[in-house]
Amino acid sequence: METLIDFFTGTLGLGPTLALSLAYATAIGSLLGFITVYAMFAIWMERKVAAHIQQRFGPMEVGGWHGWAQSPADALKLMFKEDIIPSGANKVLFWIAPAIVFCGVLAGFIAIPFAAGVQIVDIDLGVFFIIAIASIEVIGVIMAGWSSNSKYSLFGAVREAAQVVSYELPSATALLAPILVVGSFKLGDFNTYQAEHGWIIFSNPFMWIALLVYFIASLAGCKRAPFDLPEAESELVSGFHTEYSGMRFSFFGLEEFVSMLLVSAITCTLFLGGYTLPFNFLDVANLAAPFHLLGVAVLIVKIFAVIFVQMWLRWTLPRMRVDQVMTMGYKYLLPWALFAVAGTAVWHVWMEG
Amino acid sequence: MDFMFIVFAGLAVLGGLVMAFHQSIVHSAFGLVGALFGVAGLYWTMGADFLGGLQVLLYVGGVTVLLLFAVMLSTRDSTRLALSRYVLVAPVVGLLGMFIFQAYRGVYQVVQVLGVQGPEAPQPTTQQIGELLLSPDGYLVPFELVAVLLLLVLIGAVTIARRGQEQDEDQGQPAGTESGGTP
Repeated sequence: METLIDFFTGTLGLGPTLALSLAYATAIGSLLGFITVYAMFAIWMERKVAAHIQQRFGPMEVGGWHGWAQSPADALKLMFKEDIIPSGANKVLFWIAPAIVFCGVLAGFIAIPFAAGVQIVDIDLGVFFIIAIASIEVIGVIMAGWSSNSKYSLFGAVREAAQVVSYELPSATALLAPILVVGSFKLGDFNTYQAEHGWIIFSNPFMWIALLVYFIASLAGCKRAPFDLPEAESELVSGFHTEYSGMRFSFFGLEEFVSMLLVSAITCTLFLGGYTLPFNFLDVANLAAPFHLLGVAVLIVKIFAVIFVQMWLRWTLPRMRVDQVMTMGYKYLLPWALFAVAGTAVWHVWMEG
Repeated sequence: MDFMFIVFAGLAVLGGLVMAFHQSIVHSAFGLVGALFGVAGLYWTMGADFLGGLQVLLYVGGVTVLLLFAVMLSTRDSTRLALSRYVLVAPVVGLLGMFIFQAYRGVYQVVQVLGVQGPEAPQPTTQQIGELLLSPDGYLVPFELVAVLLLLVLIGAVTIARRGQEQDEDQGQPAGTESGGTP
């Protein structure tokens, strides 16, 4: 971020306010570009993973090599599709709901460090900010479900709200364990700590529980199968986005994949070493100027490994019932998360004292 | 900073107006969401970043969701009646709020006269809050007492809710056995 501001003030000779706004615009623009390309790739990957797990090939025709152009073609189709608003819908809320849902997830990315210095703002609140701002998404989903004026949408929205609010507890509690170890909310501090002391997942045995709990809870938070009750096709048509079409529908689809990216980025940064290589090989965190971008590649490889596991689980496990989801969250994940936090605290006091 | 203040204050005022004057109760609830988020933004512009985060996490993402549940699951007529009744209360609450604000300003001026001043530039507050909570002469005991009070309230709410359910079951069962007979 400072490099960008320096570039605009120094090289181009602009005023400080203009340079600041231009730097933020550039950073957020490139973030949006990255997210769009990522989402297209992730949708293609999802279809490929699903197909191979079910012993099919998936998309093979569009674009030649293994149907790589399927997602851009789909995106183009969605863009030119008519934007239908149901006659009984509440227009204003129906319009802004996809934007609120998408903004909640997008705002989380301003704190994610992709490599040393490749981060929009290293907020002091860091992890806490991401958890807090992502909870806005629920409001958007309820808005979408209610304003559609359809029973299926409302059912889906209520299910989604209950599920996401419940699973915020175990996921936030599980994240407390690495926060205890590092002693900071700042995501930048997690990377410097792990470059020095090794990956947090190996710092104590309780961290494995915390990682497992966070991974399961984050699956539920992204509404991924086996927790995809809000859009259970066999019961609710398509859940809260039943009535949406065209671009507005694609925002909900995009939101699912972008929140997968966000959650995986948090998992990698907090547990799996961020952008550092195992045993701090090459010392990625402290490389000279152009080579520090290697960290971006390392983080993206790790993120896609986590996303692959998410997809793998989606096509392996059957969908849970509503009561099973609630039991899982409150009776199993929350106690295990608390156990992991307490265990981490005791372990570190014992090791230090 | 001024620009962000105008954005967030505008959001808070607009949300508050929607909440107070919109016909539909669900719109009012969404207006409340906007107002609460605007207030969180105001906290951020004033440098209270942890408080702003809590505001978003608890009020925007948690309490209003429960509120929306309650609004959507209750019947329409009773909510309208409740709304019209509370419209009369609103000016009183507003006056009370202004009074409290003035009192707070008075205290603030006294504090300024005494020479106690806040930090000039916004500082990250998380560490300060942690030190206040866990240092030996900190606020750990009051904090825990408040937590115990909240726990009591929770248990009380669950007990009251369950008592109602048990009564329903008690009333329901004899009626069922009378009409049903032996299966």
